[in-house]
Amino acid sequence: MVEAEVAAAGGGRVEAVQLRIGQLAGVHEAALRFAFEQAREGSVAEQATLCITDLPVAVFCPRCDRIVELPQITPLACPACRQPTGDIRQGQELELESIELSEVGT
Amino acid sequence: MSVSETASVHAGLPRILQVRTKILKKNDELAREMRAGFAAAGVRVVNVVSSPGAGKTELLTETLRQLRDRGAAVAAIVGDLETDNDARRLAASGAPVRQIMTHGLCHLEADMVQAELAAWEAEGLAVAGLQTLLIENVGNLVCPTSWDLGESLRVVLMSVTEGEDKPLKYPGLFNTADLVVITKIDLAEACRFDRAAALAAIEQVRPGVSVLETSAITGQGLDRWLAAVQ
Ligand SMILES: Nc1nc2c(ncn2[C@@H]2O[C@H](COP(=O)(O)OP(=O)(O)OP(=O)(O)O)[C@@H](O)[C@H]2O)c(=O)[nH]1
Ligand SMILES: [Mg+2]
Ligand SMILES: [Zn+2]
Repeated sequence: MVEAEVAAAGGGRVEAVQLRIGQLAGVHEAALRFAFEQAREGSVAEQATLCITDLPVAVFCPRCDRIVELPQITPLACPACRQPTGDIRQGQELELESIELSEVGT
Repeated sequence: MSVSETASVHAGLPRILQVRTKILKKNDELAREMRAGFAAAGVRVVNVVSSPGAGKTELLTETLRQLRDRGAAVAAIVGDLETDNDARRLAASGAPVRQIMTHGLCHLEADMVQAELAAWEAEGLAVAGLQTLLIENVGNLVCPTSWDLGESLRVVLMSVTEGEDKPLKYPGLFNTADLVVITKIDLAEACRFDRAAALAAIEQVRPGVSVLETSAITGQGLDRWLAAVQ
């Protein structure tokens, strides 16, 4: 995926890859880092650093009528008024945010 | 891939490609397409997820058997790291069954399901004529979370033998459940299953979700379960 983006942008060497991972995404950060180290070998991202932004869970509380961030994943309830809510507004992301390139041979 | 990139090129500075793409976008798109196809054909697709050994195969074998007895066209796909043991158990029901051996991959992906459906079509089974397609996912409570298979119902099983706090340990997966089934309820007493604690744990990670209790051995709770997947 990173290779396709880099090719589409005209090539270059990848210095860093930035991901956004929600706490509910079902991804283990250490496992992901390990997989990245394996996958980058021999690719344009061989030298790249992996930066992961960890996104906490945020839910919409119907009682408070606002989106609130949770101090921990569970319970899925408003930390202010304790109203249980499954209306998740953040925390399920699994996204490639950005790729940092250095100009090589251009 | 549609890239909304704003490549900012500054002389001498590294370029940052802003991509902001879902990593599982391909799977998401295929799953959405498949879901629309299933809906149009009237096929109910049930993705069954649980920890290893929670009772997926046992419950699904009984489900296939009873739905066939009621005259329903049913079939199943099962994913396992190795062996086709589960496929053989499921096939004992008499229903068409296909095994996906993932050889190390810890979850099923939409394109794997699509390939099995295509193979079925090639063998003459009309997938669009099915009433219910059951998918037994690989026993795993983490990785199936983010992999949509185009299902109309995602069921998470937890057995009474694995601890009432399973949902709290795997909130991400339980949070994606459309239905939670507590299995092996015939063993509840023997392992001092605390029903209230289990229901409270489920409620904490998936407020409002329906919960059923079943035993594939005694048949307890199967009527409500069959009604949910039919
Ligand atoms: N007492 C009792 N035992 C059950 C029930 N359901 C399954 N079992 C037993 O639990 C064990 C595991 O059941 P399976 O159906 O193979 O579990 P599974 O989730 O398919 O396991 P994997 O595919 O390996 O992840 C077997 O020995 C089953 O006989 C039940 O309702 N009651
Ligand atoms: Mg099984
Ligand atoms: Zn509130």
